[in-house]
Amino acid sequence: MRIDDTKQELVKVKGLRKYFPIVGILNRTIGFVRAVDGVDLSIQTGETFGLVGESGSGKSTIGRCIARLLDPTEGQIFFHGKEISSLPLGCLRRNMQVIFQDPLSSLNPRMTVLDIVGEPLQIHKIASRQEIRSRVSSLLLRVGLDSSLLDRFPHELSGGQAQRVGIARALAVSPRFLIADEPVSALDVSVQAQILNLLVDLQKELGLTYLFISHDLGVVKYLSQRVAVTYLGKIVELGDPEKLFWNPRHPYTQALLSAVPSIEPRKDEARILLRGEIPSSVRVPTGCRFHTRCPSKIGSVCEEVEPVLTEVECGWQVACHLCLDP
Amino acid sequence: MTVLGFLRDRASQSIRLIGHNKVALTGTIIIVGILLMILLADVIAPYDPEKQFTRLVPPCSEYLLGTDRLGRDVTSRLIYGGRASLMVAVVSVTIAMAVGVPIGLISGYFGKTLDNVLMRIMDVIFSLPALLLAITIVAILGPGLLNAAVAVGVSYVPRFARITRGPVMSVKERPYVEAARAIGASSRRIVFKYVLPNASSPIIIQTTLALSSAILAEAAISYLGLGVQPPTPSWGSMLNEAKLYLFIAPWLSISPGIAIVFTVLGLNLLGDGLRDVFDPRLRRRL
Amino acid sequence: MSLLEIADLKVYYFGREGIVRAVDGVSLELKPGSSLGVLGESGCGKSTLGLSILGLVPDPGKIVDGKILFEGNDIVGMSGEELRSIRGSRMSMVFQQPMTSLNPVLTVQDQIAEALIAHKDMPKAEALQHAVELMKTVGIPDAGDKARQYPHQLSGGMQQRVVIAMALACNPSIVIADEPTSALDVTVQAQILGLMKTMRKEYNLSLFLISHNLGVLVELSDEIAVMYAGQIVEIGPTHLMLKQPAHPYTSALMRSTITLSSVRGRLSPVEGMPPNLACLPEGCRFYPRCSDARPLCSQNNPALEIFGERHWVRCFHAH
Repeated sequence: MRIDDTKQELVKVKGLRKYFPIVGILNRTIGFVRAVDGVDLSIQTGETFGLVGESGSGKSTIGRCIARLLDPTEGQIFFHGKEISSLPLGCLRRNMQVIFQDPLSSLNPRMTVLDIVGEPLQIHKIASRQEIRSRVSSLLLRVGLDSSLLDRFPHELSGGQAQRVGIARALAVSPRFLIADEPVSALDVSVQAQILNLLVDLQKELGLTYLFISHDLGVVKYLSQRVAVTYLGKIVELGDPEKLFWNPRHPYTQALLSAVPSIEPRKDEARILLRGEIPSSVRVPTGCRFHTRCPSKIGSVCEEVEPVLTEVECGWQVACHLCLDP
Repeated sequence: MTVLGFLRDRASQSIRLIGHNKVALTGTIIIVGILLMILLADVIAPYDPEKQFTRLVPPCSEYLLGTDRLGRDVTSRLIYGGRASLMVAVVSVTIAMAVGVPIGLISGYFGKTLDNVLMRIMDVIFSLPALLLAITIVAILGPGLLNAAVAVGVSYVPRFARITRGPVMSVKERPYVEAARAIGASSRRIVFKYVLPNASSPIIIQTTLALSSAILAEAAISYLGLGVQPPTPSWGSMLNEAKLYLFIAPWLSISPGIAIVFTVLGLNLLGDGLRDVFDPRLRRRL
Repeated sequence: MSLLEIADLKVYYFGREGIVRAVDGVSLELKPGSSLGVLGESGCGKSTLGLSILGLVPDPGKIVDGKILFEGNDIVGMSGEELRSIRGSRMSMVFQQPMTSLNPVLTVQDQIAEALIAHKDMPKAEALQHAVELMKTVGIPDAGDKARQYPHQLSGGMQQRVVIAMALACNPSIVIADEPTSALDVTVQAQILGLMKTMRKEYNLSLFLISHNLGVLVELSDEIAVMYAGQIVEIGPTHLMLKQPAHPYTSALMRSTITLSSVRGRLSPVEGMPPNLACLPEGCRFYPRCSDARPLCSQNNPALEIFGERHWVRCFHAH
């Protein structure tokens, strides 16, 4: 499938829902974990789209549905205009790849670096057996690794090296779209910076589009042109991180930003501490999901009516009754 | 990549690695020693194992390990007996592995209904007393060493299925398996290249344990007259015969006993060593 | 008088590959009521440091040299029984993963009460009651009901609160926390940090905090010590360290830490990797990665020297 670079929208998600059944005795379904509960978004070619949230937000699940590692319960996902469920899997995998969170556990401990990075080349028959070694070497070089690592096993690599191997593996098929699921969360600070630099360089060099999933607001803001903040399976705010993180409109985004421990002297506002805990995704609150903890709750409308994600400014959407004041 | 080339490459690598691992090396030496002894039985054994001499002679210069209740030379019977015991052990465990491991793999990887059905079948076999099962099978197939081996093998299938299924179920949830799906690997590739190698340690250990207990199982079956047919010797049957003469002729139980212990030790060491040899994490840089 | 004084501590692991010098000559001081943060990345030895204060260095590690004076008594060389009488009562700990610090088969109430029964000889009924009070203090809602629950029934934040309640049960003088919030969500982390600040004031605690997250340390510590390759390379009051990091590693760390106000552009990460603690180089341990390196640095390892008020650096060229 050739990617037409003039086409703007690379990925489109419509009405995505993913529920995981909870099975009781005698295999009867007694409930659902509503991991993703109605998400729409679109990712433009060449951009880095950030997806932020805490546990239970559904951000990883969204990534996995787009990567077709999970099948959606409802909704449609389009890649380059075509529904991904209608595309042959091999074709999809050649255009879309994933970088995982913990590099050391996403590499098969029984395979060498050469095997690991060469695997996609073998599966998709991109290179012949003789070519694999040289192809893998040049991939390693591109991610900043020496070919002396070819015969090493994952446990013999550092976290940073292992993640670079994971990136090299993802690049082996020359994809256009990369889903990065917390790619630097398990790494040390100094190594994080190295890997982020690498991702930025690769994007420029290869014209990649990224979906960057993370809980780290600073990192997401640093890399992304657009960001979506998720809470309990829905997007609550979406827009340009420069604007959004500077002056957030949704109370959850405000609390999230205020919660980040800062090394700069804090602005004089007191930190916003949310009451309570993140509710369970099984018994989702009625109305706006955030109302149980929201410091800016208006009233019964928050408890009864679910706010719709609405555009409040060009390219900036919020799902909150406060912001939808007529 | 041709299978032969792959095996040759792995074989030479493994041999080098075994050489460096003391445990595996000791185990290998013991087992190789025993195998040699068995293969060269015709050359080494001092007498015909079935020929009868003076009965119940204690160990002396003429009969190194003494003679048994029918006057047969224990040393020769020991050497030839190894054949029967090891043959049953190897054949039965091979059958058990060849059937049990794939069942465990399929069950563990695909889960749900298939898993339920397969495991219930395994439960049924497991719940039958091994000896009863063996007797039934031998009754159908007829007595003899090979049939005894088949019977033991069948009774060990659930063991291998179970010991494979557990690790398979946990390994298939690991991130690197998900990563393999993400790069487009087929189920077959994932099962053989990602899941099985990482779930194999318990299988290797179980193999050595099964080999050891198969030797003893053979003894029980032969005792009932369903396995090795007298006068052919086997360590297990020698042990059983010796039981009656425990106090007046202790040498009759000591020799096959030691032979079994030695073999079991060698097998266990070999198994431990092999497991270490195949685990890249324990491999030191050579 | 210092509450905790560590003098030239050396903790080595004796393994097949050689001797890993996890802690190689660390000296620190903690005054009553103050809090010290140890900042470092993985493999720098900070966790080993925390464990050695508790006398919990795992095999094959051993305290090879140095003193750890707690309330005037040297912990190094104390018998198991003496250590057990200190741990949990005078000195307690909070670790990273609350789920692994808690016993899955005991109710949370029982676990908190255990410390009281063991160290304060409290009768069981009274201990259980006290446990519920402690749970309320650490902000667990519906403490009475939650007391009879098991750890797996609580969320991560609640579990960590239980761990903190256990740590505070016997009114210790010092709490050693190793990455107490790293496994928690950001908003929960903020709650726990707030809790720890409040508890510190209320109980007049000293905190010995270990983390790789500078932001967390800035929030909670009066002083920060930066650890690299088994040694302290810089130590000073928090505000000074932020304004004027003197050691090249500290400034490199701060430069590569992304904050919300980082400007989009190139990060300047520290290239390379930390040294192998089993074969350390001759000179300064940071030399191979230092942008400011000079020939002298490869030959000698600098000592910690005074740089400013209560501010020490281990560098020949601190400026």
